[in-house]
Amino acid sequence: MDITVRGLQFSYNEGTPILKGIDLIVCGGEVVAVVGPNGSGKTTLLKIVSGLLAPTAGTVSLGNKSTKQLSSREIAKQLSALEQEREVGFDFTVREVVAMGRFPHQRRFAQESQADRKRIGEAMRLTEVTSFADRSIRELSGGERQRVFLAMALAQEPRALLLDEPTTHLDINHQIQVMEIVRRQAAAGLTVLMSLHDLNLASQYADRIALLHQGRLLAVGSPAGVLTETNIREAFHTDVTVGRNPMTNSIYIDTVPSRMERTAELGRLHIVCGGGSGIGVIHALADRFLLSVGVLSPLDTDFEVARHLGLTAVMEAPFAPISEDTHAKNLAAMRLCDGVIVCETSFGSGNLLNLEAVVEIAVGMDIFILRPDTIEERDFTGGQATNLVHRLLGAGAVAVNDADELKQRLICP
Amino acid sequence: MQTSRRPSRRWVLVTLAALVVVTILIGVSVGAVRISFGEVLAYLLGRGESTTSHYLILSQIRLPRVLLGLLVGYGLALSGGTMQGLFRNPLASPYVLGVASGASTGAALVMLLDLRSICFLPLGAFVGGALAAGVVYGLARGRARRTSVYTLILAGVAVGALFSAVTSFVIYLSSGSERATDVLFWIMGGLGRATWASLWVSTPIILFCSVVILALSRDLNALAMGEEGAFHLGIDPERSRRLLMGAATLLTSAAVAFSGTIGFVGLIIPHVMRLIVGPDHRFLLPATAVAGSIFLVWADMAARTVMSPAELPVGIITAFFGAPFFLYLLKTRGSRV
Repeated sequence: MDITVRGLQFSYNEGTPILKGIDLIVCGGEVVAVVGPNGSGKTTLLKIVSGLLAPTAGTVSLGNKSTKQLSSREIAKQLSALEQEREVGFDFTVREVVAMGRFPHQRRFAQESQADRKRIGEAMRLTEVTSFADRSIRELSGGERQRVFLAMALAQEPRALLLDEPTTHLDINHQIQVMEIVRRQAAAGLTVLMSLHDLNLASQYADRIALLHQGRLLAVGSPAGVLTETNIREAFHTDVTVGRNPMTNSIYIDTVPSRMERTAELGRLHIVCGGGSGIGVIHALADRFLLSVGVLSPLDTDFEVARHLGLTAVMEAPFAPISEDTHAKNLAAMRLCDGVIVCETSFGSGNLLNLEAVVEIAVGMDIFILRPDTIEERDFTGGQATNLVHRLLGAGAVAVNDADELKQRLICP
Repeated sequence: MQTSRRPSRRWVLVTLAALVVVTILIGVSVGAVRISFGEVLAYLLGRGESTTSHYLILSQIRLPRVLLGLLVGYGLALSGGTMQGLFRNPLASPYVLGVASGASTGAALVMLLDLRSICFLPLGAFVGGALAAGVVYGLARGRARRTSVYTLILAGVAVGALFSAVTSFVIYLSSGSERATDVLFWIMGGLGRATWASLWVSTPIILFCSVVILALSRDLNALAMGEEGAFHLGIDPERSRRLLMGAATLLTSAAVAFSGTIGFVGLIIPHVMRLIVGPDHRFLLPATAVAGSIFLVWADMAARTVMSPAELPVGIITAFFGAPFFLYLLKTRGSRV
């Protein structure tokens, strides 16, 4: 069954509009996640689709019927919904709670029929709550309780399911458990519309994502199409990096510390790194020092990190040796600094020039070398890099074991 | 709580039915004049000598009194159970919420105004009770989505106190008159005024309310999921709530009109029965009603015999049991509800 939302507007008592023209179609068997910052109208949207609130303008249709023409019972026969916070009065057993899902289908004084019992048992099995069927709903953990409410919703035999933040307050294992149940039901044809505040969970489990911002849909589409750095910055006013998880091929979102927080109170440092060897050092120092890195290729992980943190990076084309021009830029960047850090990276003919640059400017400069004892294993220049490192150590460079020790030495020498 | 330890429903039904029969038999035989079970059975089976004094005591005093006890206990417990379900709160009851005080004021005014017809009594009680219920319900519902137990109880206490003051005031104004003395005794709560006429008036009211409440008992289960949860189960929460509150108020009024103020039945019985049979209102409410009947008749027997031949107001007996129990509830469940 499709859920069709057209031209939806909503405001409480003619106050400021909360939803300003929403158009959205959720198709049968599809999982659509509504994401957006707090107060963007996610819960209100779900309440209107469930029939709990009447829209100020626009329509919501379940299949081909507008919810306006349906009674709450007729809606409940087709659609079940789970609100954000549900508290149960009294010690109902798990079985009793799940059985309530049959109410819309039962006559007022009817006993439980064979069909009811079958459906209840199945819903409990799907959500794995059968083993505690006789326990009180009020003594369960958050994850167990949420599964019981899901079972109740499924016992309702809905064709569409609405979930408002179904994973709030749940541990990560329970979040995944709930999402997997939902995903399996969608595969069996259930239409699912849910709000989620966790963008990663949304990108992992939703077919499509609707990004809500100040009552409008900023974007609707595939997770990769909607959850872009630009869209997220606009909706959440936060800088993030969007990557792709190679294990699941779903995209993931990471926050980037705000640039405003960084100061250069303790001075300027240049970092020689590559292949990810600089990540620990960069993050350890980025909030207290003004950093530059180089020379790096744009394909290098360290370059990505530097770019996201807004550091000065001296760049060379991938797989190309460091050119004269770039070398000169690197030297210039180093000369602006109070010190240079050589990370535990491998040296080959392509980047040996970086070490030579350090030797060239070493006089009067604090030089720190991470794990110089392992340089021979990382030296693919036939001993040239090892020689350079030993020359630096001989000239007073400081050997350190890791980023933490380095930070310690820099901050309180 | 491992809830599988609940007794089977059939067992509960059989026990309650047996207790009702035993309670009636003992209830009519006990009193200032002891009447043997043999005589009682003979009378109930229509074989007694219709001219003996025992026959007169049975037919004109004991039986109406026991039957009224059953009805009033039934009404108070059922309305208490309904209110607890409505507010999702085991501390609610007709007295705690002030509804019974409102009903008392209404009934007292009718008595003092000397409106002779027996039908005016429950009517006046209902007007007073509905007024109190409306104020408390409005306060508890209007403030926020989730009603705090404190708001509810404080509102009930305040409204109850206000109505009690009105009652005292009108009694004071008419003090000295025979009617005022009459009202004073009535207010203390008792089944001594039982007549067949009062049974004919209260029975249909109580039956009607029972049907309404039992028809909506499923909605009470759904309302335990909260307002939104109930809506998602296809229920119109506001409509169900109003109907249930109206029926519970009418029940309380009918009970108060003929027995005065008998507290705590509507508080303890639903709570105890919920512990025994569980919270499913479709079974809990009928079981509660019957248990309320049994309890009140036994309390009345105690009232008749403790200081025999003098008779205590039954409200004193129920308060002796109920008040400590209420305090216990506040202490153990107050933070949870």
